[in-house]
Amino acid sequence: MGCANGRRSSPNGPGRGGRPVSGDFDVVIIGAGVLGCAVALRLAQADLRVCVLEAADDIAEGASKANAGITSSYYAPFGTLEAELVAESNAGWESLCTRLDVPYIRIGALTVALDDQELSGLDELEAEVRRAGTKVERLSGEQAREQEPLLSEACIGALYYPDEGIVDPMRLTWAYAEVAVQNGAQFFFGAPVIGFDSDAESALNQARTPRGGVRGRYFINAAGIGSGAVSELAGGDEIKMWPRKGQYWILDREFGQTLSRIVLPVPGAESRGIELAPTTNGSVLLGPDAEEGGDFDDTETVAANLEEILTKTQRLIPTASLDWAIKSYAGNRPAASEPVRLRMDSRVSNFAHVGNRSTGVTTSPAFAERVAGLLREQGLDTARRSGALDERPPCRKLLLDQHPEQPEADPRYSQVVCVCEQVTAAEIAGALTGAVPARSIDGVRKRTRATGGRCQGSVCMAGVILMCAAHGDVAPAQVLMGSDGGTVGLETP
Amino acid sequence: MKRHDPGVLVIGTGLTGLSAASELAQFGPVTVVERLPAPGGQAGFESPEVRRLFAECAAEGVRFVLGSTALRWSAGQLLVVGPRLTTWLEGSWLVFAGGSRPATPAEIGLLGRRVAGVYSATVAHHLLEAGVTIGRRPVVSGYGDWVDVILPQLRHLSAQITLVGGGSCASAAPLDVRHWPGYRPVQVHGFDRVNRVTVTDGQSTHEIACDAVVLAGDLRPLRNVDGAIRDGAARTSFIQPTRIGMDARAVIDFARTEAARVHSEMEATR
Repeated sequence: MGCANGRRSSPNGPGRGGRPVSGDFDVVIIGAGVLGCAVALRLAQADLRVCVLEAADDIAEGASKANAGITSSYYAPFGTLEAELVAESNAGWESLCTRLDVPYIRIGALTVALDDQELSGLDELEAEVRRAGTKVERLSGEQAREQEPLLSEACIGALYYPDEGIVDPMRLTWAYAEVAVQNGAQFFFGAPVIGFDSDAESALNQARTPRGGVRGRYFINAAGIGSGAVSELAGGDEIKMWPRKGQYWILDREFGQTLSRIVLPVPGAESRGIELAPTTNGSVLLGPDAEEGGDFDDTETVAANLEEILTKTQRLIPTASLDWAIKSYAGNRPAASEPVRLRMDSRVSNFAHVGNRSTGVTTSPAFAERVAGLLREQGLDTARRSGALDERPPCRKLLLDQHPEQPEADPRYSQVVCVCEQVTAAEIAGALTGAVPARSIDGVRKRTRATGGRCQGSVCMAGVILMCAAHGDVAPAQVLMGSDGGTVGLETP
Repeated sequence: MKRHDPGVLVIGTGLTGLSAASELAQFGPVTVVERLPAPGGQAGFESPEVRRLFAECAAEGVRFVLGSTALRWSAGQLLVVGPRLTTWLEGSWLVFAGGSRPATPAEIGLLGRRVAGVYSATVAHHLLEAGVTIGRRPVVSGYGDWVDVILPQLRHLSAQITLVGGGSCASAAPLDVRHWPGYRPVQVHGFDRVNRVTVTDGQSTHEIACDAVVLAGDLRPLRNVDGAIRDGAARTSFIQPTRIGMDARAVIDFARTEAARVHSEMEATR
């Protein structure tokens, strides 16, 4: 998240606010969303001193935690920067996610036409997709229902994208950050940028936060929805940012196991439309809608929007039902006057813009490489150094399909804390002790999914709170619920 | 030739699970799986009924797998993860006696941001037991058993309790709580912590200032074993009383009757 958008952090709370912000770096990245973290990992693999300043108390606190987790194979027309970034990222997902221990499935997507008007829209879309070189198949309604038996009988044609995938976007962001730190990058949380210092040639040399400043040779604005404000503080190009709010339903994986593909409507002008997206943990997301011009901090869910989302998805998959609803949530995509940014500033010589209003997760691998290229053109040696880490040891999930018939070496692996999401005490301990550890219940949920399942923590949340308290050496009442500073309990007088 | 009968698997050792296990043990082998190291469920190991039923089961040869979590029921096999064993247990039938929980925000249509201070009564109960001041102006929503558990606990630390929902509430009366009978919460508000909740009775809408919301109503069966989530799951029966105000005797009677019904159903499908 950005800094000057009114979002409050908790510099004196029990979060991470204590560490002073200081140091000399080659590259200072502003924002610890999926793009900031991907770029941090890539640059930390070079012989560079890298730091990340994040306004919130955790990674992935903006759009990176409130998206559908889709790795698109087609999104923007041929010839656009976004189309290039999508294409460059697509082939590498399996290898990247294996190395980073992130759940990923190349599950495939169907864009579904339900009437003649949509069918002609599908024709136009097919031509665009083929021109972009994306793998795609044209299907009849019957063929589409073979791919996805739950599809509406009204489906008269579809496009099938075999290269469309799904990823856990929060684990991806976390994994980028973890390996970045293992390569020497430093993260400062609760550190909103409140100003920059420049030298005589109007190049930036320091980013200031309420807890101190860091000096840098290059500054990268990856502040998501706060990018406009950061650029203004730096005296850089004018970027107009506004929230494009999207709401979602999460449906249980007992419904999810019946759905085999991402299912999309024929897109409108503004967005891809309201879709059904299976997640890597088996649940299904319905959404998002798109609402412009609200408050930057507005993540309230609204009944009317959620009803519309259900109606629109039921048009595609009639069996989608709120009988399976686990939760609804809302997030803000960082809509912008310049939707995809990957360039040096035109006024400030050592200031770069990195941003994407919608396909940030999808394009994050390409962004990381491209930013390395961008800085290389500026004269920075961004070649990977020998010995740079590009993987992390897998945090073993339960061996669900095996018969070990023997005690686990670490007993925490056999202690299931969150039954709904099948998360063990060992995984939660891993989230609380990593290089970029969770500092709140939301932080644990983002990293492990614990408390995020069918019962929404009815069974396990008290246990997770106690584990957080034990690891953070604080009283249970002081454990943070999220990144906004709210604690589990009130202070006792 | 009669095939080897792997027996019935029961998940849960509250009054319901123990009663069902004891009932079914008359007809064949029974294995009971319990997440915690001791039996008792919501009633707790201290309950004399739990002690008695546990002894009864042991005498009938019921096998107990304690401290082990059942995760998935599939094709006559139950995946169980525990300190000594991660394994698939064979079963001819699954009886799920997983108790109940208050409804989640999604289930009761409660909207709003994710803010601190909104808890399921099950979580609030543990936090209050651990001495956490969850709020000084808490709103408790719902009626029934969990309200009866939570209100006295909150009474110890709260200046002002508001109860939303139910009809006339016996447990509220002696505790001097503000009561909005017939209302339900529809939206929580706040930035870092909940500070208001919107309630409605379908006609009028009000906002109540608060610093915590405890969801204690609308009991749902607690189901978290893949393959045994929905009524109608293959070779699965659910024995989960969600009627409020049942005493131990009523729960045991309910479970025994249900277990007898499960037995006839198993016989019928044999």
